[in-house]
Amino acid sequence: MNKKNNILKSPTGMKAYLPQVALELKELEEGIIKSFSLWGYQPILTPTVEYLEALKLGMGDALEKGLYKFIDYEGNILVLRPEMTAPIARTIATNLNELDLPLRLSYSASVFRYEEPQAGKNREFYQLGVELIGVEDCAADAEAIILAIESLKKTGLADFNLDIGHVGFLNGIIAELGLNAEMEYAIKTYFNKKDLVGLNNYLAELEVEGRELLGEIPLLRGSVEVLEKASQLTNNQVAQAAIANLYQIYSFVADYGLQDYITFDLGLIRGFDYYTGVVFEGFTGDLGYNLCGGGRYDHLLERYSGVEIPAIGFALGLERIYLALKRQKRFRGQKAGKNLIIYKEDSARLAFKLAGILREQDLVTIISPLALYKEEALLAAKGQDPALPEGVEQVFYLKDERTLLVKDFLQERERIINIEGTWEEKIWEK
Amino acid sequence: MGEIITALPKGRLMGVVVDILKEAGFISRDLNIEELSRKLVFKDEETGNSFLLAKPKDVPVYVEHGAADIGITGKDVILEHGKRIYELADLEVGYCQLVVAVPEEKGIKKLEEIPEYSRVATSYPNITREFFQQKGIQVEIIHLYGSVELAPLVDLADLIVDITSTGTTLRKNRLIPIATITESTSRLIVNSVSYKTRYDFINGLMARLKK
Repeated sequence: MNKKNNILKSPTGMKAYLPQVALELKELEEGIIKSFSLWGYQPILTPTVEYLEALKLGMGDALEKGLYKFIDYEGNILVLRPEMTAPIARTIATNLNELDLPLRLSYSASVFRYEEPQAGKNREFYQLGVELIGVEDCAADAEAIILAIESLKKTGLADFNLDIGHVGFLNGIIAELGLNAEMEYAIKTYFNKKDLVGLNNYLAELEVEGRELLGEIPLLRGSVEVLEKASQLTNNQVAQAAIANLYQIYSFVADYGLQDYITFDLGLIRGFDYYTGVVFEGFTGDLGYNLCGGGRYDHLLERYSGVEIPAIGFALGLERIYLALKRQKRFRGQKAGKNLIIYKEDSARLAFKLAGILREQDLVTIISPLALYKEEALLAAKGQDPALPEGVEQVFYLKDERTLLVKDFLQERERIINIEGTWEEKIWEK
Repeated sequence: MGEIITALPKGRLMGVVVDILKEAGFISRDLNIEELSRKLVFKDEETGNSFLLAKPKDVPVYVEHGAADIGITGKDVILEHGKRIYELADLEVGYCQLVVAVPEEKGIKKLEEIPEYSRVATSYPNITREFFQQKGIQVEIIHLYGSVELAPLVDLADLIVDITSTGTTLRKNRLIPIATITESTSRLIVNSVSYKTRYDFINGLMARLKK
């Protein structure tokens, strides 16, 4: 392999964003963070790398295949974080004596997963999310779901929906049928992949009474009436408790007026051993991938702290939401117009002062010496292209120590301000 | 809700798959497949459904990325790609087996008799790698895109992994199947988001396919 080929490339699956897109992604990110903070979620920062052992303790072996691993000077195996929930759980569990529960935490971070290159997926991507730690109540379940919907709504996204399931339902039925760990693993694999053909073939050979029940679960998807149907399928207590939990969540979500955004899907379990209760995923018809995912994980912190601490959270994929907004043509950028101050060498002092005044008012201001521009262009008549940097709406040209020419391209207006004596107020005159 | 886009497998399975979809009322009966098989995309004006014609091995790719909502392709292809797609129904057509086959003159009858570091020609490198790894047999995989039977004839490979439905091609080339890796039929696959946004439609189709 020719190593030279790598010099000009980003590593496979890693992406750079140029200013125009980067600015829009940042705006989108800030908007979502704002939603989180309005609900009282405070930021938390954790290291980009973690010890492999620490992550495995939290996440199980399932994700190991997709991890970026490397070895430090002491021989420890480090990994680039593939998600934020386990690192946050570890951080909180090891700092419990400094913290008061419940905790409302939010994050915005890049995460790394070694996806197969042909899948066309990024190996570094941006996730925003929250974790509500220390509350077991269904009000907390509902809060996470409502906040996920609200923060997606705030971005301007339309036509999206959350599928809500509960791992307790399937777990209860598996326990009721007395299936062993191997069978449980096989069945959950089919559920995770939504491989109904595989599931039905497997069940056909399973010599367990009541096995047909498992084949019906993937079909339990729809509005709240599905819960009634599910409830009639089994008397198992764990499964019934799961249904009761979902009813309560529905009632909170309906009180908030967001019931149209949710669908129940009892076949949804999201992975193997991480989640313990309600689970959910958000999607829109405009994008072939999930927008967000999350759920309740009551045993994760315990793996680090030895004390049971319930928690729930979710993560949103920043780039996916951006892509969906673009496809829906609903991206709301607030492109701030720029000001450009151009000065001749001897009027630098005035230019800096003027720039200071504008920036004081939160106005984006670029300063540049005249040498970089053609004076004729700056003095060009209305409508002629002065070849200015993109996004410049107003030019302040310091012609000499007495004269400031202000050209407003948006209003197609120009005026001359005499800058002898006090002139600072005059720049705001309309 | 807009129309449903279906990725159909071009080639030998296309005719029988289209017949099944016609039976299910998904494609109108008077559509001429001969004519269609030359097109890349077409819309069935009567049912309002759109179709794209792709190589069977590409069908999961279109579906995974949502370029098509649903698709039909073989289980062998799904296993090889390992795509994150939902597999909802077995159309029970296009039956074939993925087998390990050895030239007759080698006299190998069982997997255990395969010498270490044997060269295996296949167009299913992922399934093949996983299969031999599980069996604890170390082999070298030679990835070919077709006519895999040719490889042992010209000593490019010691054995092959390939699909066979009747065994005729294998016999013609004096290859003896010694193990079946998996059996395959055509499956209905669905994009994970389309499954949710078009749930009623897809469920309805599944019900009609089962009849």
